[in-house]
Amino acid sequence: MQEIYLTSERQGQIADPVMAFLELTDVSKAFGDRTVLRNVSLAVEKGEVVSVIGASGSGKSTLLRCINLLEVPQSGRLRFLDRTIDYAEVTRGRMRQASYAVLRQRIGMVFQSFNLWPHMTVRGNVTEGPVQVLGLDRTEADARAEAILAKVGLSEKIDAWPGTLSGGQQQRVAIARALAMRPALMLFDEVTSALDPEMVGEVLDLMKQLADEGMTMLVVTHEMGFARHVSDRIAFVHEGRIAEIGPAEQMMAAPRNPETRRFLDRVLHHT
Amino acid sequence: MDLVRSVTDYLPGMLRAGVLAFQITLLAILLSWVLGLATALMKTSGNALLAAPAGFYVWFIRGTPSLIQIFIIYFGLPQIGIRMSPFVAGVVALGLCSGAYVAEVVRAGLMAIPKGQWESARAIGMAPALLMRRIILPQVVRIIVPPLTNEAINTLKNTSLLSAITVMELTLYTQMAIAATFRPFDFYIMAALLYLVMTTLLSRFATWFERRFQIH
Repeated sequence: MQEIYLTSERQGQIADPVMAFLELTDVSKAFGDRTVLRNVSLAVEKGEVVSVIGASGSGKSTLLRCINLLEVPQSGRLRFLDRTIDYAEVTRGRMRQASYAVLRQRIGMVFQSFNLWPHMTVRGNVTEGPVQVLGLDRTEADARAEAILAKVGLSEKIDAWPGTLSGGQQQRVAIARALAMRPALMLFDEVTSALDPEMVGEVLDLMKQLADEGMTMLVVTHEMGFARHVSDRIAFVHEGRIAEIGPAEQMMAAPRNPETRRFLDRVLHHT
Repeated sequence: MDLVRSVTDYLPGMLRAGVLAFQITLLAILLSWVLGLATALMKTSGNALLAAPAGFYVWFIRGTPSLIQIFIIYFGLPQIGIRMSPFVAGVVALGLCSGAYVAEVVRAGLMAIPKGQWESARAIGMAPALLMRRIILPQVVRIIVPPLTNEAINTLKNTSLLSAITVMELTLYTQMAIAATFRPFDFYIMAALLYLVMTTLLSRFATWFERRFQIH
């Protein structure tokens, strides 16, 4: 009797889906008459690292940018933490500025081209968000910046100007800037693509460290090694759709979708 | 001997007139920055209701002579009940005139800021006003100092047009001194030198500002 009771309780838990941490449902996005995303759905669990791969122009960066509303899809829904956003409402009724800001404060984003603010020092870049957006006082923000820069290995560069740093250092500052907001989710948009080859490693190592610490990460990348060894799952985007998604090892070793296979053949044999 | 006497007699008056021209210039520059910034933001806002009046303003000012604009302000507006002293009319007219050019300079500056700068600020949760104030404008200012300096120097030189509406600035004062002394060569050279001192001061200040706030 007891056995059966327990089993049914477990079944109940399974039938009642655990709320995903981040969930995109039926997201469609077009630029003019060019459709970039077609009914994309994706759920990410807390602490999960998902790599998004695919050819350039497949829509993977757009997918990422829809999550913090740098792009607003024409339709679909986003659920993140306790918040649900209907994209059609955003397009139509204009979501309130404050709601954009609240969503973005909890989502860190790192870009291909670093996008550090050149008129501020490293310290200025890392404290800007906490002070101006979160309202921390200077000393608190400074302490936070110092701790995070130590973590990314750039303590000695705290008073340097971005223009004097190497690409790899700039990108690590950009990651520190995002982390200073204490985000619940980090988005990485081809963050190593603009780096000289010898600097790719230091950025990937930092990302691996974040993943190991349990950060929830969505990573658009061409680094197949990272996708395979650091991420939990890999999503392959093809012509605006998630053509295949699965555990990283299985996706790399035995992809089911012929398009995935073709893509992996191409990228793995050319690098 | 005559030269020495007439110049020394009129020098204090010329200096005062020069200072007046400089004061008008500074006030007009301030007005033109406010107008120019507002106009540039309206033109780039993507909102037609804001962009249209801004576009009309720039189109009108750039397409008409400054002297006509000054006459409209000083002689034209009283007819519909808006009266200003020559000094105020001068500041307003030069500020309006320069504002249109400043707007174009600021707009070019805004467009020169890479898209990634706006995106990284938005991604961190900045609202538009904060983003503009903390991230975009500080970078725009650094880019537009040289063209703004040109524009300030133009405004200074344009104060001589205000002689036509009885503002006792350097040009009008010089003309009166010449009428009294019949020494046009001495006095026009003198006036030119004073204008040169003032324009040089403006560009020196701009150079200092540029050095002080350059991006490393």
